Amino acid sequence: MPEIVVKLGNKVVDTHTLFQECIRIGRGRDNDIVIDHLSVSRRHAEIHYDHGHWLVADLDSANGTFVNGQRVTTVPLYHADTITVGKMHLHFFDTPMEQDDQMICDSAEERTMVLSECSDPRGCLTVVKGKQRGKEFILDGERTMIGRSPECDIQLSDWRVAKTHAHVLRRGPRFLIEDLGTWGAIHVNGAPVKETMLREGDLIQIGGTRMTFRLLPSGVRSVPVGSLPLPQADKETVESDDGRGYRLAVSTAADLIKESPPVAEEGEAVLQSWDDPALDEALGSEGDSQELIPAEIAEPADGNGNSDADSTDAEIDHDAGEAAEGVNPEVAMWLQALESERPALRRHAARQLEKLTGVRYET
Amino acid sequence: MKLDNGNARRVGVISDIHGNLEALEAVLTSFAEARVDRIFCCGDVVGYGASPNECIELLRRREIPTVLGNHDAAVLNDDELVFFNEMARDAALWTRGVLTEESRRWLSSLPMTISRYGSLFVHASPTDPAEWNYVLTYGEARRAFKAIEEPLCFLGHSHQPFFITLRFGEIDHIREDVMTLGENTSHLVNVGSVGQPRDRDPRASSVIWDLAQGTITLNRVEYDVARAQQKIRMISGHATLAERLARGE
Repeated sequence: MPEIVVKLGNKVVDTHTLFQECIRIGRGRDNDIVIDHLSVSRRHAEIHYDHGHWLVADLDSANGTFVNGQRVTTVPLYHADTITVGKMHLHFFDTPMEQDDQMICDSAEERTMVLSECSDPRGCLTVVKGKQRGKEFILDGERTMIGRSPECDIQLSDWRVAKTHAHVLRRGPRFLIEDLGTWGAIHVNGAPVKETMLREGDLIQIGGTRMTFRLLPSGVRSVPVGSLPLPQADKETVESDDGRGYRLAVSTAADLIKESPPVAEEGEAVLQSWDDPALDEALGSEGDSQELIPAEIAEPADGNGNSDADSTDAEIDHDAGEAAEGVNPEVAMWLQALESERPALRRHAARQLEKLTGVRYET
Repeated sequence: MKLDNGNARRVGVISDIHGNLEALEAVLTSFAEARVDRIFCCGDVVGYGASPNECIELLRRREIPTVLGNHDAAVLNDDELVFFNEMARDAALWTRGVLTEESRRWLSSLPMTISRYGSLFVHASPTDPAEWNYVLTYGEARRAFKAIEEPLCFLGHSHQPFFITLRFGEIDHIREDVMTLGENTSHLVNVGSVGQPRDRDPRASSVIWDLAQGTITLNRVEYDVARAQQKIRMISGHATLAERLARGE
């Protein structure tokens, strides 16, 4: 939903989300946005929705209505337009359209965690620019909300930050930041992102606030059920011979595992944890010199032609039975989906793989 | 939102039964407990599961208005089989072999869409129902909204339930188990799958539309998965078909 931020000079006076078809602006108490200032008429202007556009109309006010400095009667509004009524500036922020290829149901989000009794990984965001400079926020939950609202776990006092702007989700041993699509993109290391896995030292900008991310040392790391933990590699994509970029660079994964060995009680089963045999196999016995996962991950294991995906059922058939032995079935499934004829599905598969493995895939 | 509701107060909507009698019976029982007085089915009554005739018989006897699904069509028509993967094709061919003449005639009589109570029932995306396109992304949802005149549309096909609304050009994904129908809003409801859920929740999925309250509630019920699996193992060499029921995949 679009949002109106009312400002007098640099001070935010009010914010208003456009939930209804028409909102009235004026000095009179019966307006939706009441601006108690003598420069504003009783019924000054209205913003209404008509045939797919938000429009602002002046209601014969004494001092007029301006959009980006031009006096107007009725004009369509665009993202980041400034409406001026009297001495007040109303900033119009339109919600960016959801991504066309964004999946509605992301069942990966539902993954449950094992080893809940173990200490979970924690991260930390340190504000390096903005009003709260120097402040540190600890990421220790499954989901950490970031926004202007006091309900948020990380409350940023920055008017350019939406009430609920982004959240950070714990993904096994790592953290994923996701823009909640309100307004104003989030930037990670200077690039606008919808969602991305955070890496040590990443610079995150939300509104006018800039923060750095770092992982805090912790004990045993829990791992999502059914996921093969392949931590971030140095190089995001290793081009394989066929140029499809399917294969995973894992040279740094082994190092990361050496850094933080699992600390389980003796005899306690560390299910699917860092010492998962499946992981060992994927990394090679020592995980030292092997840089590429065996090629069979990239290909359907059964070779029965299921990869020439039909357009009906195969695309969402989660057939674990077809996964290569020792390879996470979900990874294998999404790798197969990368071959789909559907661009949206290929892109989704690449995103899922990045979430699961930390490696960016080409679609 | 006011809709012409006839005499019905609660409408149950099911889809993608896929010959799973155990799941269908459990859902119908839950509907009875929730005092549902009308039931609609968004297709794919057969395919994958071991009890196609029994499921059809149940819908037929209770006169449940049903639209055609791609698996129902594949049992009737070879052209539809082209798009199927091996597992789905084998299941369709097996179903074709065991289907009674009565069941076959009933499947042949199913319409592509049903419009009732001011809402539309369809199996796949309403953009072109016979194309069997999925609604998996927001872009596909937006195109689906363009294709419907009704403020409410029920569909299935992807086996993953969702509530999506379109209001003043804005798409919204309602991530709750209950959606309240709103004025000036179009609603797209994927009711999920009765017989083969794929959202990692093995419970049978359906929805209950309360016309008086103006709400649609996701209805998940447990059923005898082991028995449905046992029956599939007896008829199919594809172990995955049985295994996936327990995982909801």
